[in-house]
Amino acid sequence: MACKPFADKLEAYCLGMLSAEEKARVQQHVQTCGPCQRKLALHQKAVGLIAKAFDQNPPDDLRSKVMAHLQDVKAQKTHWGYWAAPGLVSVAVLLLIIKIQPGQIVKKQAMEAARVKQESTPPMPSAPQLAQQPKIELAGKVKAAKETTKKKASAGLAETKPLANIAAAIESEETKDVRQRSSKYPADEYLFAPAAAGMPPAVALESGPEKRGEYGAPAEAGDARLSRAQAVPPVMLSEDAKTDDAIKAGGPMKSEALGQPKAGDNKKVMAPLLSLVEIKGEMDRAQVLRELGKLNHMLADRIKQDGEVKTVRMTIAVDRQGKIISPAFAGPAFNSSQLNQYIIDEIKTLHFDQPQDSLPATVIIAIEVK
Amino acid sequence: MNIRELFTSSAIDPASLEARFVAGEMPAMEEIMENFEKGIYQVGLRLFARPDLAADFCHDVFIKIHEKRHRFNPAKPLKPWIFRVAVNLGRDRLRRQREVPLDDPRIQEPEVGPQSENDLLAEETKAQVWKAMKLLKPIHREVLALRFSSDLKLHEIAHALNISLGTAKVRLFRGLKAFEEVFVQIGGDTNGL
Repeated sequence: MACKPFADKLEAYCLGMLSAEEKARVQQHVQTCGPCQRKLALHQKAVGLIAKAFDQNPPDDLRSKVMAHLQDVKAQKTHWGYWAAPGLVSVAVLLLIIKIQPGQIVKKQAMEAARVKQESTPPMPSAPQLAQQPKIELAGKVKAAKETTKKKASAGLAETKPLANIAAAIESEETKDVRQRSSKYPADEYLFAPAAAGMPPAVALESGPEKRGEYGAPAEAGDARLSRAQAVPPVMLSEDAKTDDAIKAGGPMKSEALGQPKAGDNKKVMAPLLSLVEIKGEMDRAQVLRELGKLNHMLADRIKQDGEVKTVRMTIAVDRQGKIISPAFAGPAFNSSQLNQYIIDEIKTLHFDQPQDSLPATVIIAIEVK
Repeated sequence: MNIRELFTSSAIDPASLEARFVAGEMPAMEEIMENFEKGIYQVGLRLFARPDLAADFCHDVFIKIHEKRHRFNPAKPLKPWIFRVAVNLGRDRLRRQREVPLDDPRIQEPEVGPQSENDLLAEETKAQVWKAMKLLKPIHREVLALRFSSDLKLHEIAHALNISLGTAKVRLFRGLKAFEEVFVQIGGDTNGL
């Protein structure tokens, strides 16, 4: 049939996807082909309807509302510090930092001994450490973190602690449960060392349901709208339920005291810094944190073997039943394909609870190795 | 290249809209809204077929692009990136919407204010078009929304949807065909087609 070459061309013609030459050929063909002429007319009318039926302008006050929102956020950031600003969006962002210094195996006995020696000096992030942060906005966050830390201290809440004190703090029942459930590592042998000093405090935001949007549209089930929400301080990965309660209460900012290698300490481990960046969807954060804690354990030895020093980000898609369906690297992965595959395989062994709104969810993590 | 290096690179003009946007300048944000708010709003209309949802969506897209501005490389064009953010947000919202049966009264029709019989016919057709669009699968809705809302080129659509050129083309064809079928199915004015 003469029409065959033009089978796909008619839609493309109407959608403006043909070159001038191809357009001319289509026009020539339809002049002599009734069926194609009718099909072309059909497509043209459909295109016209879709183009015209939605040709409306946005509300007049849209721009002013957006700018007012942004100005408000900016003002709040300036006054209160980044994570305390109530005007921030409600995407659930929890940046949890666990860092174990490369080359150092942190054992319980060492932690106990360190606790005795390190009673005195809380390691606050120094200016050089802060200056080394790769992201521009971290400086403001950390400065605000210091101010908030001081405020919390005066309220009698926990704050930045020495390595040993933090180690003791995380020796909670929850942490023990996490380790005991991990089949690959004997309980009590390894600990999550406290996170690095100098690491910026993260913004953890509640993704509370919003009844209505800016234009009064009712929130649909599980609709994670961008809205004003209370920001809450970040948590340690190992703090689980206890810290989750602290978050809800606007509790203390757990830090981030780096386990600095000490003279004479020849035990080495290269362990990843595992950060929970974001949860898209309604999931039990504490449960997600517990599962990710297992991943941190699993990666420790393997990272040591491969010796890679890099930061990667991964997305973990979770289906309605809580099954992990596609862990993937969001951006460049590690150089070793075997390591990448190992990480993906290990992630698949994790078990997340069913998302609370029975919709698929996504867990975004960052793995940083230093 | 980090943000500092981008700004010191000779390839980036600090006075460009993209650079000022990344730097967080409010006038740049206003300029971006002026350029893109209609297009984003119409994407929202085609995705949700409801003016209130479209307005909320549009509002939230701009908040989001402001928050994520540090992830944007100012050496690259802004338009595809903005629409990618819009697509991702739109997908999130669509995912949370339940499938709507053909006769669901919640499918909102556009406000009508006919002046004449011709206007009546036009408004009725418009209502049917909105209904048909709402009943399309999300992947067809979003590709048609991008094509018709801001006159995005095929490669820009592919970039926004993070798909290949070939896939974008096929989706557009199938989206158009699906629209035609649904429109007829819901009793759309075939003279209008």
